[in-house]
Amino acid sequence: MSETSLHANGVTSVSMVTIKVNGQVLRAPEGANLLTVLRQAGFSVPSLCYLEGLPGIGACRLCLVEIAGVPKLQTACTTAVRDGMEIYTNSARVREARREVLQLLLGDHPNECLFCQRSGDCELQALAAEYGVRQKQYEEMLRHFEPDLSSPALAYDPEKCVLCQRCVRVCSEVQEVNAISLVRRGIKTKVSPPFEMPWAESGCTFCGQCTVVCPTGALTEHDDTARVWQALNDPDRYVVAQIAPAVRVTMGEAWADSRGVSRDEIPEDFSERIVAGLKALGFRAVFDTQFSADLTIMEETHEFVERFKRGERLPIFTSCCPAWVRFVELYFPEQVEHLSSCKSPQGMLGALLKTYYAQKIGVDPARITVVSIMPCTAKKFEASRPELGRDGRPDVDIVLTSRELERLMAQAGIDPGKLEPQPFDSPLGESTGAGAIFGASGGVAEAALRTAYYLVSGKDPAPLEFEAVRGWDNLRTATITIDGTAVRCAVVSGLAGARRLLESGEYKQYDFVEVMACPGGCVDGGGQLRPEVKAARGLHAQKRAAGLYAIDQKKEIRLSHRNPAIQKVYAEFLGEPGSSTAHHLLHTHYQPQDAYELVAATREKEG
Amino acid sequence: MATVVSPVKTRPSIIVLLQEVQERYGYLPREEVARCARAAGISVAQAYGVASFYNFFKLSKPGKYPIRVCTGTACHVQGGQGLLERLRSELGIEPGETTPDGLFSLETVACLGACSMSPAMVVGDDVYGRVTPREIPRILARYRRRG
Repeated sequence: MSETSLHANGVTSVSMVTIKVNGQVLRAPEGANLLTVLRQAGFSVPSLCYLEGLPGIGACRLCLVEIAGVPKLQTACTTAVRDGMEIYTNSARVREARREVLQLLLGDHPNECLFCQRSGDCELQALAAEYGVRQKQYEEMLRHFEPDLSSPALAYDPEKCVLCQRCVRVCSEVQEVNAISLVRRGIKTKVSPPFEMPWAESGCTFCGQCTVVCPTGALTEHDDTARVWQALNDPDRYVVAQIAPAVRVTMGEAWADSRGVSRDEIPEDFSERIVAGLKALGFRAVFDTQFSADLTIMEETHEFVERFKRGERLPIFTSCCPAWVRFVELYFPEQVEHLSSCKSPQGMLGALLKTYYAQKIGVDPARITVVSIMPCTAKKFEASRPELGRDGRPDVDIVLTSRELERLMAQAGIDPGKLEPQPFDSPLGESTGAGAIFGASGGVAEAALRTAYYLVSGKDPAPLEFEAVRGWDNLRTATITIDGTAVRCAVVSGLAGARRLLESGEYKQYDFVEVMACPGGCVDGGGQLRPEVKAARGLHAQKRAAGLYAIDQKKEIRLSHRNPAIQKVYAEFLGEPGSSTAHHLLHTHYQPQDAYELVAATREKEG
Repeated sequence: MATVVSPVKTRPSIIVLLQEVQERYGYLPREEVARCARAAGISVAQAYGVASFYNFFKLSKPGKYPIRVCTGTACHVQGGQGLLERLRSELGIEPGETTPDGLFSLETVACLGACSMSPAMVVGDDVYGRVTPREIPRILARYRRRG
């Protein structure tokens, strides 16, 4: 009962076989992962550990199913499809076993749901409800741990951890950073950086992909919503905000329902509704990180063209992504010199808000609180870097992720989906299409190419789209010819690809390298709204990226150097790209740190 | 069509490497764990995961006077747990750890073979039998004086 179908490349062949699920006949590829096959066919099978695209490991024991002829229940995520299999996904025996597994997990889980960040958005909580677990069978907590709150970006509470290993596997198998592992044994098992060193001092890049996949409240962003309330409630503070590109095409997933907008379409640009929401909370002004994305393009492209002409420290590495910057500092300290000296758009806008803007409105910068709304946990770390501040004060005071923005609005009882859109404040709120696409992998390279083309040839490129750097592969390359000169570009998304590019030395073949730490870029950042549990993650990010490209398409001005607000800031304040004022405010430097040296340094501190 | 994978390992096993380090130093210094990880072609995090899984591996430098408390059946019945609790609070460390001054380390053992004098413990090379928790401070003071 098997037929063979050929894949497009004609090499691999997969036989289709027949299986029976709850009495229903189903065709499935032989050897395929049973859990994936069941879910794709619409059967609901729970799992707290399975990650689409990675092999199953059977850690959480919740995907147990009954297979005829097999005496024990089997975990679907570690079972391969065989011809003639008869599977029961929801028999009394299966349900009873899953209930027991849930009881065992809950037996060592704190009763803190009321106060937990993930309450209402927790996979364990949802399953307990689904399986009618309404009473704790095992009362005594045997595991006692202190939470790790050492980093400004992430928080880990081992007592809420179900040891599913999603975080460890995202870190090792998707990102290939390998910052964490399961340590110790038995009831002392927890997730930790090596030597149980504090997260802040470890080899973690703070990309936050682990917080997106954590099924419970164990691994989360460091919650800063309380600090925002504190600032807003302080009459002496002048609280302003900036909003990153990727956030505006994501928040609709939380708020679109109230507008009757289907989530299946290309996401609507929610930026002006977010502005309205923030103003309703008491923010004095709201600016656009897309404006400073345009500014980044001016500075970075200027730096690139200079370095390119002189053949100096090529390729240039983009520096917008703080997790990537940290990754280079930690694991490739010798390549730090390739990083552009530009601050990220968040850093640039923070610096301008506390200088140019403060002067303009006549407010002491010490009274201004800058809050960034970012798709990213690493941005919290970036804002805490001492280089990104002046007079001992940070340029960006508080960073909220998309998830915290959702909570902030919920706490205030505001549904921005229902608010009348309000424009960004001027003059740091106007942006071009080039700034918008920063949120998708390849966007920075494309925006830079548009302006580099102008800087080198004196003409704007036509068409404006550089399709070759768009897309979803981990590495995309393109050679762009400007006035007879070839510029070799590489675009990488995901730190695994970045590691390969640097380790192999392949990066030397390029002039311009864009890296975003998160696969797909900021649209799938570590601070973004979590996709619905069982949905394939990539699709979400692709939709969000399509939203950004749609914003670019609709903008009248799509070249950073044509942004009148940018031209105005240069004329009034910065001088020209690369000027000494620009250098002082918009550029920074990086610290090479060997990850292994870091380990040794921690030891010295102890000794 | 399965290809036969050669069983010959090109990389040494992390466990063997860690064992060699422990033999040399008596415990696993961090730099050495990092070195073993590199040699085995795995991450430091993974190497530490292995090192911390096995009781055999010592993660901190043993004290000048390692203290071994028996938790075997006879000692347990005679109150060995009480000794352990008292040592924990007196030294401020958990089993497997070493005091900051490097003088004492604490560990539990399943049996010292001294059941007739339970509860028993060993400090350095000295065996103590029928110990009561109240005696602990005096015993520790003896070694502190010795330094």
